[in-house]
Amino acid sequence: MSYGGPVIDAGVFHEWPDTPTLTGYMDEAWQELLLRPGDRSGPVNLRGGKLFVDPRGAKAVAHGAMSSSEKAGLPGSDYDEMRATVLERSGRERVVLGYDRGLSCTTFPHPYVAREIVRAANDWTVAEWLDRGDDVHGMVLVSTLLPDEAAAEIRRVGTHPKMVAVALGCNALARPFGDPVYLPVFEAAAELDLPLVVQLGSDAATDLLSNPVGGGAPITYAEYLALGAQSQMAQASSMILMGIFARFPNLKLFLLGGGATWVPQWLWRLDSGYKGRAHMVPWLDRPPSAYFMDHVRVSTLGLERPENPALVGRALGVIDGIERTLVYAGGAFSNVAEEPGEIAARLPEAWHQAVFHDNALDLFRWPGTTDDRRHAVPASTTIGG
Amino acid sequence: MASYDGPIIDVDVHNGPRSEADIKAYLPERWKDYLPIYPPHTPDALLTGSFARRADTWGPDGAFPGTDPGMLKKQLLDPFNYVSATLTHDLGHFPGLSNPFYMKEVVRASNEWMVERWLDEDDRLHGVIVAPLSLPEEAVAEVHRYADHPRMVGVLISSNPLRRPLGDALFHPMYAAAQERGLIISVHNEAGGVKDASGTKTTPPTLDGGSAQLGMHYISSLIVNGVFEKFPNLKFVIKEYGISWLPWVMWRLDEMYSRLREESPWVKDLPSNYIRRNIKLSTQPIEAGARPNDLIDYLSVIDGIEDLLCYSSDYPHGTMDDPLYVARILPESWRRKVMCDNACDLYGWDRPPAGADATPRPVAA
Repeated sequence: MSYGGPVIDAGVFHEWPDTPTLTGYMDEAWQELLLRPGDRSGPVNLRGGKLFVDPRGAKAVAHGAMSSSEKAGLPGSDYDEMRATVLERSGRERVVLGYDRGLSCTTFPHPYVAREIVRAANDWTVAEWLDRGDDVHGMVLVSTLLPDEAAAEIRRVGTHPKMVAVALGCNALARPFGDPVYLPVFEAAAELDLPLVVQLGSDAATDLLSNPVGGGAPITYAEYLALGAQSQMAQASSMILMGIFARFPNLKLFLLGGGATWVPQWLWRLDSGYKGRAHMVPWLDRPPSAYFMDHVRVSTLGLERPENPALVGRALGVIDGIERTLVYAGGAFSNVAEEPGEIAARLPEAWHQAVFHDNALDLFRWPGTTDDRRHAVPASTTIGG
Repeated sequence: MASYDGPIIDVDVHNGPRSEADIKAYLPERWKDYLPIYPPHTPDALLTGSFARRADTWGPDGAFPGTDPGMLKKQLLDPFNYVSATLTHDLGHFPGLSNPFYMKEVVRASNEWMVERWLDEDDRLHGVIVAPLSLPEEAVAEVHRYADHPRMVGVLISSNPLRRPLGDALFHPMYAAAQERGLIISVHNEAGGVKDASGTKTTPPTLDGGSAQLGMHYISSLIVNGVFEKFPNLKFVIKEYGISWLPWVMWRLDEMYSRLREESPWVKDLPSNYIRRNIKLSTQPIEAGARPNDLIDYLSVIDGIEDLLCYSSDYPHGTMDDPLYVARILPESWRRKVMCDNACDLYGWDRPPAGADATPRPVAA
């Protein structure tokens, strides 16, 4: 099965090539601190650290080469390359730029440096990417280390019409996103009608400070890739159960990069837990799966690849309406990228238009749609009260 | 008409002492007045509502659920066609005690108590050996100490004081002993001391469906650490994590086969093949979709998945699955396998003869 219709690609991972590119968007004091002029060891590495490194290394090598901060050629760092290799291919009508390794920079240990990193990254994205093409859109990158600062950043650049979502970066406080400590972030996103993005990528753990899988840290990258969606299950469970979507009825969550066929079993388990223990989450007025259907979207990036491709649709199809929740993301420049044709071959044809185009149209806050989409936030939902 | 009237092997039934004194009676004098035998709750455990028990399992004299062998027989073994129930403590997380010298004695006392107070009561009752997991050499000794008991079928891991995924080499001496003595490894949910992904929870694991994460990772860990290459005859049963996540895990791990081989050259076969040969899941808490066939449709994306499932009730916990409820969910052709035969394969027993009238007993292989 192929698909020849229009495509919205909800996940193209662009990366700033080096530290000076980013510090170019910071004021002088930060430049002096981070560029360390005169220090032979060179600038502070604003490419971020990571717990899980792909030993196959195509990308890791590229990143390693960047530590000299002078070489060009980091995949995803060049606008023209992105235009030529992504936008001009496979009927892509528009793309949304996310980050891969850039996400992990949001947990830079110094919280104010982390704040400056995301500010600079957002300004760099606007100036060097969004302003250059009508079909290029961005996500506001935030660091959750300082939730109030994250909210301020969303309000600062989230008003840019080409910013269509908020990338939550890593789970910087090692508490799942349903925790009330993050409420300022969600309030700002809901106010601007921007969906939240929780991403798992090749180098981008959703969670660097606590484990991305249950039961201790995995010892291999293969296990991290295989089971890393557990962090998305945990984050989405936490947000649903702690009433984030009950409190912000227009807020959406996009789980990017973790595959999709895990969703049915996870929803069943959520609902059965809720059935016996609804009294523990009195702010929910319906089962968790209902909040999922209304508020959560899942990317095709990392879509499972069984030997018989038809089984993917069969596994997903046990949940009625699941096709409304799937959004194509190609993952260009990551080690898990897939073109629309590869995904189309594993999904029922009747779902294609929704998955490759329509669902993304509904999910993001596209330019010009804000006023129509924004809803008042009801003050009636009391969490923890 | 009952959904199933064949023989039943239940691989997860919880039994506890009427009071701590029952187990403390088996402690050396030096430790009798020391501390409680159950480790303090972890923050996550506080969320589990761990005292949720079926209301009808309290004894008429106020006995705590699961503490009276007579009541267990009356409520579970006799009314259904039970061939065997594997007792797994409630939850046997003694290895989580922080003082290892006290822990070791409590563990041994709990094994003595299991043999004398339960296994001797009824030959349908089987047990698992608790091992002092934070003392790997002592764990080996404890496995050997009870391995000869004809109705000890395995070694229990329901606490993970080393906080390492279960394939870790620290566990291998105990796995070697278990394989040598023909015992299985019984891994039970809420293995204390380790967490789900993404940090400290604010909601109970049983509410968020997340606790299956440990079971998933433990399976991958056993594979990447080469446990099934080193111990090809060692069987694991992963208990009380549900079953519906297994297809996803098999797909994902198989997808990573070439990567797994690069990082762990001792991975010589598809992960799903190791799982088929060496791992079973217990069914409880069995999941339910919106329509009766949803669960089976979802599971059936893996051919032969019915061979990997063993019935468990989780008696007397509040989330218990009645055997006839589980049998009703299963397709007819799966019932005998899941309710009985797969557990025979797991334990190395002869399968009971066909026919509901027989009251077969498992035969040690």
